[in-house]
Amino acid sequence: MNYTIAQAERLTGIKAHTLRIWERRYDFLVPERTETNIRYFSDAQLRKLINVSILLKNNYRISSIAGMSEDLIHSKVGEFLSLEDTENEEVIKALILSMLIMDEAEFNRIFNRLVLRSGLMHTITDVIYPFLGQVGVLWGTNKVLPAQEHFISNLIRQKIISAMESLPQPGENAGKIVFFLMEQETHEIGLLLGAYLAKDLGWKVYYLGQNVPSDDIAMTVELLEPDLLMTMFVAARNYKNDEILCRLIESRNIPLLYSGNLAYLPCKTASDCHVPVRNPAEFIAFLQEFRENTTQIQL
Amino acid sequence: MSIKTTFSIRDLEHLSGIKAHTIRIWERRYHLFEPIRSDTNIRSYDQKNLQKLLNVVFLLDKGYKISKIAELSENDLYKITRELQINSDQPSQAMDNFKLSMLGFDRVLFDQTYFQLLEKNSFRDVFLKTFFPLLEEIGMLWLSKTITPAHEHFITNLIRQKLLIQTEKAQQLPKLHEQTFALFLPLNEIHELGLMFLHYELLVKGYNSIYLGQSVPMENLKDLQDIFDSITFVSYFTVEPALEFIPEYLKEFSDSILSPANEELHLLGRNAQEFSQDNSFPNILIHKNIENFLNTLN
Repeated sequence: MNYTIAQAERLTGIKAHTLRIWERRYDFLVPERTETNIRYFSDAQLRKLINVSILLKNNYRISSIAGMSEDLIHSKVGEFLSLEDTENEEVIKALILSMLIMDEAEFNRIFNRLVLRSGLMHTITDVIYPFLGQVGVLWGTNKVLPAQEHFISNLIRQKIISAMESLPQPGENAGKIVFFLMEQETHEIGLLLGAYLAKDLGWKVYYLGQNVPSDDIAMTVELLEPDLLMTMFVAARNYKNDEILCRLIESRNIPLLYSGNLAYLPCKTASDCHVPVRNPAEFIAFLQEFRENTTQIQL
Repeated sequence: MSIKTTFSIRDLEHLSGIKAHTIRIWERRYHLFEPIRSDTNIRSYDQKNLQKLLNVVFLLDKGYKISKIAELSENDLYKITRELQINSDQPSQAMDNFKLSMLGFDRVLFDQTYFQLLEKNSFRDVFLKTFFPLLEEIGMLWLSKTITPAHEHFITNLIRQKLLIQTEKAQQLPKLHEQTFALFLPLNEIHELGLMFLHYELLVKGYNSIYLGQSVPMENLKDLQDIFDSITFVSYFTVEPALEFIPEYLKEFSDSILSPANEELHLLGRNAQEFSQDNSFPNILIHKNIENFLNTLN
């Protein structure tokens, strides 16, 4: 597989401009050219670039890296990544490397080490979330690597779902939150992240998953009487479904949290019932505040 | 909780397999239930009624006579059923409990039932002998409008969750074989539980298995060939590609992916079966079921 300079920039964090300069100055990384003279990098070159970016982070100069053998670069990177205080940014790069070659065992090693070091919640909010954003998997936008995207989304889905299982069951009086994706929406990684966070905060989570017809959402809301609803939008909107959803939340006064591609708002008019959530921190903050407010009401 | 817990006599029929006609007779003769009547005199049943009916059916299957069953107190009925269930390998009670958990969106009952089942059975058996038939039955219940797709979503997600947790464990097992499998569903195909189960089984058997999941365009699969020297593809056709397009799909797959690298595609699933008679591609193997496929590995 080949990568354009823009894709390389996105995956390594090294500016395209810098890559062009290196190409002129050093001969360790000369991209190939298409017939129309557009640069591209091979798999091996991209992997090397990621390793180089990790060394740069650790105060190596590009001039000295340029003289290193592949093996030396590789072993130095290995040393840095096994250090206790590796920064998240570097861990993310290591995850990207394991993703590129679809090395599930390596991915698991890194993930498990992270969980031991900072716990699941922080692994997910501080590493996995930015990682997914960087590789464009989170909202299915800027598809960098189609085959790898399938691989990594499924693997992370598995991680989050297993992680959820290990969380304690919520108490009887816990708040209820329903997670769902609307029809045509199949991109559930973000939704799962939300479900994990909510359960970790002690909420009773009802996870309906992908592609739920709006009539069924209405019915579920009637049956369960949840305190909150949460969904994600990635695909273009179907306005008929939106209307059903809007009428539903407005008549019942249940806040709908939504995230994803924020260009696609669920309703034309915003109201108190619609709460856009831009990142995990906002989501967590909202859930905590919501609970405090409702407890006050009960008192 | 205000979960809908009333059922019509038709719902009961669909959920228990006992004809509405028979249920009415039992009511008259044995006072088995006392349904609530609407203003217009239509019967409606609650969740307790349903549970009782399911227990009754279980005892009938065990050879008890309906007249005897009717004499039992609610407590005895429950106790006898439980005892028989514990001593039998029949997962039928588990099936009933799973259905009840689905109707009430009851996560706790689902988990209890599942872990109880897992004490005596391997995960493989639980999946093939209980979850698979359960899902099939749910498909039917959905068609008869006894349950809504929301119910189906709820239970499918729970089953998927159990499967993924087992998969997570299986990934820690050592690799015993060189062979690498890539598991994918064709474009627009989203029914993935069967494929996920294959992934789990391959890991348990010590193969390297790459799970790509739902709706993978064919051209993406070529990228895998850049990464791995040799790869065996596995797919599961449930509704996609549509039957009339399967020959075309397989031809393209064979020409563009399998033949150049001399690799194999293993196919399972409902829609693949339809084509098994006419399959003339030497590199494409169609399997009747999961067990059949797994047997070819050893």
